[in-house]
Amino acid sequence: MSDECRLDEAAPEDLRVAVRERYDAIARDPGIDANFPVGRKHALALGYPAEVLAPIPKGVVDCFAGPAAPVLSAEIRAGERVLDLGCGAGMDASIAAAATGITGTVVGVDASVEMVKTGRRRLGEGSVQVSMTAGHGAHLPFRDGAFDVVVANGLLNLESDREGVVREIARVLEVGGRLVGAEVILVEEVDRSAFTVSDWFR
Amino acid sequence: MPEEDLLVLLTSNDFNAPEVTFRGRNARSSHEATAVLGYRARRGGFAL
Repeated sequence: MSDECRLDEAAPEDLRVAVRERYDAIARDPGIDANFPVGRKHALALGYPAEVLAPIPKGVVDCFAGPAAPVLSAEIRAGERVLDLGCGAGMDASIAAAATGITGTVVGVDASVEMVKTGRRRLGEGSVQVSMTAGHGAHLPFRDGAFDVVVANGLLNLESDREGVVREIARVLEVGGRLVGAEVILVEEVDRSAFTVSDWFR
Repeated sequence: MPEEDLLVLLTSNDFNAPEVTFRGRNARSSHEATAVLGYRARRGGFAL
């Protein structure tokens, strides 16, 4: 499917593939023109402190493409079980792992196989312990109540099955568990009739 | 998506009304009609 295909004519699966391919391409080469900011400079501009990023492997930070820094206000405690949904190469997951310590667990899930491969390879070289798996947020391979915290940094705005994803987040969160996220939201009406698939990323 | 849609999505799936932690310019985009909303919600409707 072309990026110039009209958005209102694209099937949900087509959009899913377009998102996956875009993030696969970033994982292979974070320097490409992704249509949105990516990497360390972007993370610093969003408020991630340099000292928080310092222990994270460069290749992981290079792939970061979140719209904000919600993990910094997640108040993650030692021993907690954290899911980073839409984890990319694992930058937020690494920050979460520093907070949970060795008594907690951090799992990252991303639709982009290339992002997960990059994260596994790079984080294997570093000191943080994060397990990562490729998958879709509407079909999470975890039991009910498996997590205390879910981090979602720019997940739903690129998701065509938002209802299914939020339902799954609620299922895998413990009662009383928290969802900490950031989403791109519309602040004024836009005419989507002229939007192309490429606009899905804006 | 509109902010109201996000709030409905969360509250209709067992989350309390989210606490908004951040509202600002969308650094990802040149699209002037978008912003970024940071939020925290708790499953089961307990206060944060």
